[in-house]
Amino acid sequence: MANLSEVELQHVRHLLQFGEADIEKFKNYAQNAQDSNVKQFFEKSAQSCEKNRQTILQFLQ
Amino acid sequence: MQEKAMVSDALNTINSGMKTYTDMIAQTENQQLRSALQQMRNEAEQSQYELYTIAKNKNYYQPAQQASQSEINSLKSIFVGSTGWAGNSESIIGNISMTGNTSWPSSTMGSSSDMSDGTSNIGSMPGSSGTSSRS
Repeated sequence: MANLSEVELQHVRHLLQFGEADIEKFKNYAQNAQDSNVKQFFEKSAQSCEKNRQTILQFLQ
Repeated sequence: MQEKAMVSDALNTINSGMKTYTDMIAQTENQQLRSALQQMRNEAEQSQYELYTIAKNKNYYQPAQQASQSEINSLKSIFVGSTGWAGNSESIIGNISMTGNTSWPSSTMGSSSDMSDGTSNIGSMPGSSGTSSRS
């Protein structure tokens, strides 16, 4: 899946960097949320960020 | 950290992510990466609205007030009917053909885009500029 331009590679780098931070943030928020809906949303968001991270990682293979 | 603050920060994070994806899509030629980014942006939009709804229901977020009928009528009077520019489109087009000015369609698009910003603040918490360190 290579064939990336310099700009595209920069996007991939950016997404991986911020993606990791977002995963940790949403996991932390899920642990500290009181409301069950909010907690569930943060858990789902952490999973979604992890899925996106895996998708983006494929572009480096 | 209070739950309200977490929800506020999460909304800003998602809003920022949507803008980031949109910018990246515009700069991406690789079709597979482009599709992946579009998918992520679409999911972010759904996620943002879901959290916005939760925030509104829990009174964490105060939506913008409804526009009054007089404000709507005031805007309508400018853009609809014989007094608005739309009613004078013939003369505008006439000017273009006379002057060769082709810039007005772009500015019309700009106006349209500006108007759509009325919905872009959904989910931006009070006191938040809606910007992020990502941009």
